[in-house]
Amino acid sequence: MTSQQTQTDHNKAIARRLIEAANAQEYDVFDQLMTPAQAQQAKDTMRWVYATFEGHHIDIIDMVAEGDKVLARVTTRGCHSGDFEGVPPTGKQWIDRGFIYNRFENGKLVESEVIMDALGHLKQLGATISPPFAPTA
Amino acid sequence: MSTEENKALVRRWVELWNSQNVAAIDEWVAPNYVRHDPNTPEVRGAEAEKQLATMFLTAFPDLHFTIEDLIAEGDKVTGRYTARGTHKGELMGIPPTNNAISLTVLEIYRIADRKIAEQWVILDALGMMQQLGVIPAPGQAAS
Repeated sequence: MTSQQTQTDHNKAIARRLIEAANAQEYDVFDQLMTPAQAQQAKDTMRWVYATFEGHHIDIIDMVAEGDKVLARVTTRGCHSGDFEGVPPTGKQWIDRGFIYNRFENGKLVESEVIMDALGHLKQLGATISPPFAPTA
Repeated sequence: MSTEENKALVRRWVELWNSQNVAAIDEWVAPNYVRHDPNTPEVRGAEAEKQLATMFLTAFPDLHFTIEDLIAEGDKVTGRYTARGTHKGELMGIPPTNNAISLTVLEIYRIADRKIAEQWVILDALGMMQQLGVIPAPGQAAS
């Protein structure tokens, strides 16, 4: 195994640990494995997430990593328990599909982007979209 | 195949889309090809992929993907793209708006026997609907 492969595997393990920490609300792990700016942003985001979506949970389905980058394919789920973009809590359970892109430097997360199926999320909360986004293909 | 060969295959697949060579899709996807995308029904086989491509290219005749990043490991390749196009034809019941769109698309491909066997897609469909004016953008009052 090359040292580069070892580094990639290490980055994957960190990416996995960070998602587990988000699920367990162990925010001190963010401080250990992210740059201070990333850690603060992640804490703010997760506090908002738990205030809005009770029981929020991220499941990792797959990971693809190369060099300093790790891409996780995930599902997220939760219950709409707080005000969300002006929509009062509906109590609806939802499950979303998406990707989390992470880039690491020296064993710390320096860049992160979450791309979820936001349209599907709104539809599950009961948003009506007109004209209907009705796939025909 | 090496991860570099898999990335080269994905680059050629993106060129195929950008050159709108829909007929060539037959040669690129595996017989048991499956495409997973929460915003479209599951696509199975080359014929269904060609129908999907035709639908998108009818809606956006100048559709173009810019590769922002490729990440490869084992038999998988992740593509991170910016898709741009002008909404000139009907899209899933939405009449043409002539609006230009630009959105992030992420895909994971599984490569088998030098073909694309499986694909998982997330595109910013909400952002697209906002750019088409079908859903209000954040901070914009609902009509």
